[in-house]
Amino acid sequence: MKEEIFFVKDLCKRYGKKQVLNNISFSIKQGEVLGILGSNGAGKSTMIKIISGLSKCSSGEINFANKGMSYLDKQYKNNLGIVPQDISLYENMTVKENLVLFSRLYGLKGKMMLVGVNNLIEELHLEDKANTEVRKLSGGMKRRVNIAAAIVHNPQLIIMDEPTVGIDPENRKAVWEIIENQRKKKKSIILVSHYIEEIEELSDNVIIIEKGTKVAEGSPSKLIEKYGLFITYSIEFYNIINKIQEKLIVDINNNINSEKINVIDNKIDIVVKTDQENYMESLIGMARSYKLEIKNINIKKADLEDVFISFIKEPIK
Amino acid sequence: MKFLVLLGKEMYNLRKNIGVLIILFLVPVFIIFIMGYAFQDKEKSYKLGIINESVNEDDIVESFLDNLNEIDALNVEKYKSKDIANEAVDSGNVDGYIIIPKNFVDKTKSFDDKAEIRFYVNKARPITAQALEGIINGYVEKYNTIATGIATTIKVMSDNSDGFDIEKISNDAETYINDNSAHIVLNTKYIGVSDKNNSMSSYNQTTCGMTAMFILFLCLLWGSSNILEEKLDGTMTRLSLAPVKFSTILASKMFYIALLAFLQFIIFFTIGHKILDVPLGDVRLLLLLNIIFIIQAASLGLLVSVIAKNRLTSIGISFFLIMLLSPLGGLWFPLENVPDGFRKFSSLLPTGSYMLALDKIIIQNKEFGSIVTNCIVILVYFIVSFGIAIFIQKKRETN
Repeated sequence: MKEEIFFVKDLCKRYGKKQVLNNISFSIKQGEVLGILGSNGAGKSTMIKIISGLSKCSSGEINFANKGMSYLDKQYKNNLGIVPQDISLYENMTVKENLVLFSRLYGLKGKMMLVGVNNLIEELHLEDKANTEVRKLSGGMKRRVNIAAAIVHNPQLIIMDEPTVGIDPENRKAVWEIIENQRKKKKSIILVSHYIEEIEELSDNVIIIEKGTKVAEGSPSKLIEKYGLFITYSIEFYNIINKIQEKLIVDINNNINSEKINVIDNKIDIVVKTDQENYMESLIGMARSYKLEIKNINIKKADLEDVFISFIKEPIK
Repeated sequence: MKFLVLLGKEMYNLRKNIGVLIILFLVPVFIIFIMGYAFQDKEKSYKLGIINESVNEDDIVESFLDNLNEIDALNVEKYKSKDIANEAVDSGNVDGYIIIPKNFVDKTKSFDDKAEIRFYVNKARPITAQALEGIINGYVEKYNTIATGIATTIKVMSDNSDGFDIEKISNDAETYINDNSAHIVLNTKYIGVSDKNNSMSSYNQTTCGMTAMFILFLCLLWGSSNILEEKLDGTMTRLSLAPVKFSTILASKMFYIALLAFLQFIIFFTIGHKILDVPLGDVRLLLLLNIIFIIQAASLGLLVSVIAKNRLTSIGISFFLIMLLSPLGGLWFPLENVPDGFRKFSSLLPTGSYMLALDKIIIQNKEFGSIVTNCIVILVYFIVSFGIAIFIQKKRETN
């Protein structure tokens, strides 16, 4: 059974009268990846800043459970590795120089430190670029070095704030590999990302934060099972003028017991609960009544993205 | 058209830096007023001490002294002894003093002797010394005419006591005047320092002033940018995530800048001393003063970096501080040449205190006790600026 190594309990943060975080609690076990989802402004960054020690909470507890160490302890940061969203490296120094510097800041020194740095460079496939200045690296490479700088001191818990933003799929896969390797080494990871597939693929557990409150928690499959009790009919037309589209939506509302209707250009998504009848034929019939040419029509079962959107978007009614 | 669009974009961005604009336009206006006040064209007055050793209560001496008192450019103080007068020069109460010797009256009236006035002036103030010397010389020269006339009259009358021969009297008078034009001699001595180079000469002034100014440039402009760059590039976040106190990060940056500034001081003063004969005075005091000044300048740079939100603002604030502290502190021109009020205000600034202390160390060869107040003034600026910087940063961390 995996040991719980870190927990956050009833975390609150206020800026004046404005409550930004509202009693957020979660824990993470050894070797576990905890994904955090939330819309922009939900409070994820604030929470990460507090856990990282860059900011103070208004109330609550943050603790390395297995060490009995709170975030106010001097040694707290030694157990934590943070991968910030922005690249935070010295551009005029080489990859190796950056890693050696950060190692030293964590108190590592001597031959052991250099061996550790070299091993990390190898692990992250940065051997060719070890002596290259950071400013000359591609975006994907910089992301990898950014991660390396956060784990150079072998922390127990790694927090990654959008580690794959702005990089190509190949480099994203490379970062996923790094995360998996760390997991294999029994490191715990808190992963904040806007890429749902990334969270779904990598996380053992997910929490969804909306307006400073935790609204859902569970493994991706459990969240889908619990909250994904709907399917989405997606119908796309070659061409539809606004007036016709408005009339069609009125008809859909009248004939289909939908939870939500989303319209993007020529595409209409209709979300219905899973216990409803099959509306495929109805939809096709409605489209034909307006003499609309259907480009694409399909049914999609709810996935984590749908679950997430259901928590953050207001339906069109 | 596209040119106008891009120009419009620059103007629009400028709106967001109104503070910098204010600094860029207000500072020159302020400097104009400072310089105008410092270099007023109204005649400066100088303070002269007088020691009257002559025994006789004589009209000649009285007249000499009364007429000296009438000179608008002079404020006269009487002293009883040379020691007291020297102290007054040392403390800046007078710029120099004259001694009217015991036998002044007799010698003035004597045909064969010359009357001497000893004039002591503080060489550490060359501009003042030169001006005062000029006034005294001019006065004595004018008075010589009177004294020579008196002596001539006495001499001629005594030589012609047996008969009134107008032609003989006239020839005798002409001979006497031609042979004895300088009846009163002004004997000038420089006091205050022993080394011939120890005055605030132009090279001394520029070495001291430019050292201070470039230390400010380095610490304020470069120092503040250095810290701000880290914040803007995100590496300050990385440093903050490490188990390193923010005060340690700042202290390391300050020390780095301070070290560079210290090298500047060493280089400038070494060149000044070796090539331009700039005196060093007590080297330990010189080092101490410069270390304190550098630390203070570095902490000011730190404060600017904490306050400024972008590079333009940090440059603006740094520029403003340098342009303010440099003229007000006497880095561009000698403080001896400015009104008293200006000089007193200058002593309250770190740059002014620095220049005044330097003057005491390298020109007047004074000891530690005389620069304590100046050092305290500079240290206060260091403590306040460093304290405010840490306070602001801690407040941001709490938020």
